[in-house]
Amino acid sequence: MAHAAAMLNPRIRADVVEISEFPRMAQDFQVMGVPKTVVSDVVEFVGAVPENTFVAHLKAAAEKLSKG
Amino acid sequence: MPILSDKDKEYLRDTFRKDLVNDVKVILVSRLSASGPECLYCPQTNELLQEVASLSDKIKLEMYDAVADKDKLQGLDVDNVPAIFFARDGERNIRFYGIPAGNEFPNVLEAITHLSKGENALSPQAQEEVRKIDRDLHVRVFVTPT
Repeated sequence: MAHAAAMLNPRIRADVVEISEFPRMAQDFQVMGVPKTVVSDVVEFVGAVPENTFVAHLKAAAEKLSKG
Repeated sequence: MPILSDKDKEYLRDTFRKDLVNDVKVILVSRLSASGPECLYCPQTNELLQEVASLSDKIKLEMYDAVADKDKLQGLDVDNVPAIFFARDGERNIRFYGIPAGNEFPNVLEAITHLSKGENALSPQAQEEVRKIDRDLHVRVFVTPT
């Protein structure tokens, strides 16, 4: 879904990270379960979610960033 | 040794022939010569992507070495290798870090197919919402291969 979102909007960058190869990132982002999604360090959630929830998380992150 | 079996290759060649419409760029940033602890999965990732790209002339694979080609990679903000970018045009915002094997392999094929066809996995309503987002967002999805 992250890649799908990035295909629609160039302002969205979507990195899918295979975490077992990058244990330092797993540590930095405190990945305890997968899939874990982190949006611009302001929103995060664990697990596969329905697309409306996913989109709501993206919008929430954008709103938080707008408020600074 | 090849990674994909002859049967897999046959299946993928057929699927790509049916599904791919426009050219898709697959850009791999890796360690092309070095192996070992520096980038444990780079050799296999290089091999896998070359095999996939050999199955369709619509998949344009570009390979760069993270060290030797540093100048060409400026501005791309590659924080780990192997890094794979999927693109139709000049955008570099669709990325995969690591070897795209196991559960992630179908997702990578989907990214290639959707870019090629101009299709999207989201519903029309979700697409509209996503297009309206007017902030730069960096989405990181952490996955495991199995």
